[in-house]
Amino acid sequence: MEICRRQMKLLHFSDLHLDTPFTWAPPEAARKRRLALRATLTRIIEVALRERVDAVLCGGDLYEHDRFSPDTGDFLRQAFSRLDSIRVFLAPGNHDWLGPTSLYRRIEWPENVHVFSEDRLRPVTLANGLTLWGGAHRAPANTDDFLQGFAVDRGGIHLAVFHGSDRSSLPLQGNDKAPHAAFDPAEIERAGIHHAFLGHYHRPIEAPRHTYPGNPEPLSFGEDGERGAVIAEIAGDGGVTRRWVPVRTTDVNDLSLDVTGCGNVDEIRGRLVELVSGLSGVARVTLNGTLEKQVDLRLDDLQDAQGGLDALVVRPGYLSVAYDYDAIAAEKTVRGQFVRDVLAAKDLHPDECRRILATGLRAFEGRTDLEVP
Amino acid sequence: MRFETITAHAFGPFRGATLKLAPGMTVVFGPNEAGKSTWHAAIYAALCGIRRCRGAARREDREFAERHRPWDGEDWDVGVRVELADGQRIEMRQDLDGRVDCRAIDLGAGRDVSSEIIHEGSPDGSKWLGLDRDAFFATACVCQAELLSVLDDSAALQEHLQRAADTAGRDATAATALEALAEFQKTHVGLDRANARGPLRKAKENLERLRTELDQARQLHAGYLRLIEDAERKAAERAAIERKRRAAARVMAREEARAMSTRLARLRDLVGKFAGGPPPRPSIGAETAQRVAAAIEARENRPPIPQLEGTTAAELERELSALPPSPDGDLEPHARVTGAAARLRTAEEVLAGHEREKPTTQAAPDTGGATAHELRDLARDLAEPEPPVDPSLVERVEAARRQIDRTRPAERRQIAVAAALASLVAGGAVIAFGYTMAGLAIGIVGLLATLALVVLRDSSAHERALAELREAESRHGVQEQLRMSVVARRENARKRAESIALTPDPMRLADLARQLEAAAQSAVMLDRWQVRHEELRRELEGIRDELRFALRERGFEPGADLEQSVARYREECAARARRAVEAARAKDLRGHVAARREAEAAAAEAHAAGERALTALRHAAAECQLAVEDPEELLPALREWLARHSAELRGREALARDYNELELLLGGRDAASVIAEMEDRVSQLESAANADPEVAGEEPVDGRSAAALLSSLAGEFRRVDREANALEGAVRDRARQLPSIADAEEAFAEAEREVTRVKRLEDTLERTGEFLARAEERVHRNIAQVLADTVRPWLPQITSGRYSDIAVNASDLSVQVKDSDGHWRNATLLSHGTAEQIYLLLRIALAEHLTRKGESCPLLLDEVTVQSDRERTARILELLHALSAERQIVLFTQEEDVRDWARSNLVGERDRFLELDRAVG
Repeated sequence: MEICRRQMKLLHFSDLHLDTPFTWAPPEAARKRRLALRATLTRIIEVALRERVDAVLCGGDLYEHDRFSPDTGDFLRQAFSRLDSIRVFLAPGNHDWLGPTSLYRRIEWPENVHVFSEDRLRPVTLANGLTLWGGAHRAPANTDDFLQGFAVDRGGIHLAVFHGSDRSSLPLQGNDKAPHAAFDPAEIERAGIHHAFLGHYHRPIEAPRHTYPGNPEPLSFGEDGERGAVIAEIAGDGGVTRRWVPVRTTDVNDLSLDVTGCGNVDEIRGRLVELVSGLSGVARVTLNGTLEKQVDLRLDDLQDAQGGLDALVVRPGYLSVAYDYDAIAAEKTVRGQFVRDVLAAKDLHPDECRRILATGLRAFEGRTDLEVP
Repeated sequence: MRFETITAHAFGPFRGATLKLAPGMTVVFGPNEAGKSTWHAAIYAALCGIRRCRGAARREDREFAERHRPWDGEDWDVGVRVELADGQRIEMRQDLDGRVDCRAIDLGAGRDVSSEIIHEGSPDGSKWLGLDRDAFFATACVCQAELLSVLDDSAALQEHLQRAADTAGRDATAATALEALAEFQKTHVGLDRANARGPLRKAKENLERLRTELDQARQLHAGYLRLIEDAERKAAERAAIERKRRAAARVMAREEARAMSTRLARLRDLVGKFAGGPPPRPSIGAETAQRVAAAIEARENRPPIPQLEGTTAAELERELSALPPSPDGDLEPHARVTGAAARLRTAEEVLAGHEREKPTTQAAPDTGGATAHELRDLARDLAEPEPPVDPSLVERVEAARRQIDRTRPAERRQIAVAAALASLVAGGAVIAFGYTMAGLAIGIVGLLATLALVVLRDSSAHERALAELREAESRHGVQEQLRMSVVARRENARKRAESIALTPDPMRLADLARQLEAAAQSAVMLDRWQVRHEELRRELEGIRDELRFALRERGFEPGADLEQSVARYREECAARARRAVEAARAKDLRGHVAARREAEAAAAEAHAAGERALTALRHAAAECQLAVEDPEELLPALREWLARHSAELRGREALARDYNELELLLGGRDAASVIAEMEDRVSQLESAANADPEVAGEEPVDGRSAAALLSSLAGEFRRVDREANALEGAVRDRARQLPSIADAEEAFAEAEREVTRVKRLEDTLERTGEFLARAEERVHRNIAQVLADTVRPWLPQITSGRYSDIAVNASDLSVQVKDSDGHWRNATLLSHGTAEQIYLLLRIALAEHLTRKGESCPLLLDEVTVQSDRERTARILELLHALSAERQIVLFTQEEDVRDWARSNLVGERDRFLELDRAVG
């Protein structure tokens, strides 16, 4: 390969999280989701072959060390074997950290696979004048900044692949995202790296000097941004052009259903069936609106509306019950006093307040459906 | 609020009919099928309308429509004109069919005010009363059945009061709602204790089970990873040995190549030496010399017999068999047991500490059953000052009465006649004294004055006097009633205090109330302490169960005393650990046995070799014809014989050895092929010696060391190889049995969600019950006072003085009345007549209480006297008439007694009697 004569074409992906649990899903659907993760890797391999890339880079969290199943190793070996002469560079992350018992060590990798094994950036020559630097997490936490004090030691174009957190983008990734091997974007240029292909952030980032492809297969609901595998072309001057190729195998639908005006559960189910009709994959439906007060809503009763979906998760959102609380609160009755007291209680969460009001008023009405979702 | 007119534009059998109601009391009389119930429903529907919501209509709405839809035509339309307490006059029209063309018009302002009273999709005029259409129906409409239920069922009155107080009569009572909450909690949550089987306990047990499974899955996975690590380490160890073996093999190959080269050179020499053929055959003596020499050599080189000391192999085997087997079970106390035991100690200390903090209780003073609230009420009533009555009102009443007397027509006529007679007598007397003209003038003037007095009497003065009297009496009556009310309350409070053996002293009663509350507070503190105590005790039991479970899990059956059980468990662990140390000696001992056996075998072999050498020496001596018997002399004799023949034999022997060596090297083959083969072998060995250059650094120093190393590594390699293979097999086995951690985590998450759901339900039900109980207590306390205050002033009147006071229990709204002897009686034990009237009064009080302040709620009564005898009917009607001074009352009846009463009594402007004169059905 000669960088000077033609562009280098790479496929970059990360954060596949093979063997991860899906605690929001029913057991059967969760297993399907894990199989979908494998199908996504197969699709990534097919994209690499179709695009005739020169190399495949993985920015870590390929699998989860604490949960991997024994045949995951065999699956990975077979998958990357299909790439034959295309070289594969794997940079272990915090979930698939490289230790004595790692799958990375257990697998008899084909010759085209290279696993970075040191907790500092080490070079591999991709082509004449083009060097790829990669590093590995050697522990599940406390991995240092790969770029701290690092500088390339040769000429040419320099790329990097590792698993780490861009400090400037951490707030955009949600509260539950912990930093690992955190770095400042300015360090990339300071180190002499022309572009860094990274993993860890599930929300994709297309920055001038670094790229997070995002998790290629959905892991949870509410994931935004176009995620997938990134096809990157490296010009002779180190410039990078990128395009995201969707590789997910499952549609994840995050929907809202207004139940206002529904007089019974069958009406709600009817709306739900209509909402998810024609959809595939998995869906989460949040119920909002005002329930007629006679409706006995139990979320379990709605699960059979999933139709052709692999899984349907129904949850209550901003649900209110069509009681005229102001009018009832104006009564001089116990019921009126009850509503006044509950509405005036300062220690109640609005959702708790709503449930207590509906439960109490249903009890007054002699109803037996006293569990309010 | 007062109804003025009701117009049934199209309602039931009516079309365009209007009913005009009086502001006070209206009695609507009619026979069966005259339309009384229809008018009753029309009034309700015209004011309140019908709900207009999405979804199916309620059953009661459907039944109402079926009963009161017009018999012909499509419209269903009714209107009403009402006057509110602030003087606002409203005309409402309800399109009951389409429920679209409904409106409420403020006749004074001429604007549509429908939007102010929209309720469940349509205008509801009862909202001006602070009610809604359901509450209005339950509050303002009284039917015969309700009255009967109060008379027939002793609990119905209390039930009705509770329903009205709790939900304005629409739904269940708060007590029923609380029972429903408790029952629902019992079946859908249940208790959280060891033997409970409710959903909460099940969910928690399921969670614990899945937590254990998840822990086990994680432990198995961690064990799998450790196994992998062990296998990797063992494989590395095997590879290291293999490297050493390969390094030694290089040295060995080099040594062998060198030896082979030497043998090749020797072969080439021998082939040249014996090119002419083999040497001449040695003589017999030479062979004999050779055998002698061989015998000597064998004798001299026989192996020494080692001296074995110490324990024999048999003894070692006996010692081995006496060792105990490796024990099963824990060798040291398991962390789960020790952890549970530590928690148990902590929990016991916490419980003991809590027991020391048990609060003291404060005895409640004897209040004869009165609550603190009641005591405060009594104190307040006793201390309340008597309101003044304006004395000028008494004077106004007296003046008005005098004025009425003066202006009464009959008296005027008597005065006029008397005046006329007096003037005639006076005129006659004057004439008799001779003053004829003057007498005539006096008589004429008197007659004219009398005539004027009769003809020009002021007829309106009497009416004004009557009006003045009514107003003055009304104002005086109100003030007097207020005063009497205060006096009555004070007196009642005094009597009530005395009835429960308390001094009617406000300060004393207030103090008792404070003591009672303090006692209640201390009881609450004790209850809380007991609840916490029970929680700690349950927690302790839970830890004990956990410890028992942990001990059983470790194969130890705990006894009643857990502390002793843990101690015994620790002792058994220690005993097992000691046995394990003993058992561990078996491996070393087996090695000693093998070594000893080998040594004993070597000694036996050395001894046999010595014997064989001696035998050969004797044979050689016999062949040399040496007559020596002593074994010690045989060897010197044969050496001497051999020395004598060696010089002669040496030359022949050397040739023979060389030739034998040649034959040995050739092995019966031709020399050329053997030399070529050896040259190939040398080449191969030199290649082997130069192979694996990466292990060159690990080569032994020489061939002997290499041979020794190879020999020593052979066994070690086999052992390490066997262990490495076993570990690899174990890894594969474990991999096949490895549970999915993701599956276990998902199942655990699902169980966590279920526990969260049930706990949230428990919390919601408990909080709901708390709010509801507090609201019930607060509202009942207020309403009990209202009910008692409303009925109390009327009680002596409606019971002809038999009962003087009424009390309503704030906790359950049960009603008691006090008889003239001062005894309190349950209202359910009263006569039907009294009960009816008390019920109506309570009903009025409830309506007043539930109605928005400043408004009065009209009452619509349907055949409420049908089950009463004439006397009771009359008393009810009188009561209703009196009550109609403050609120509008509409009574529908088919009874002629009521009709007759109405004709006689409803003659004022505020009252009206209406007779529906024909059947509409």
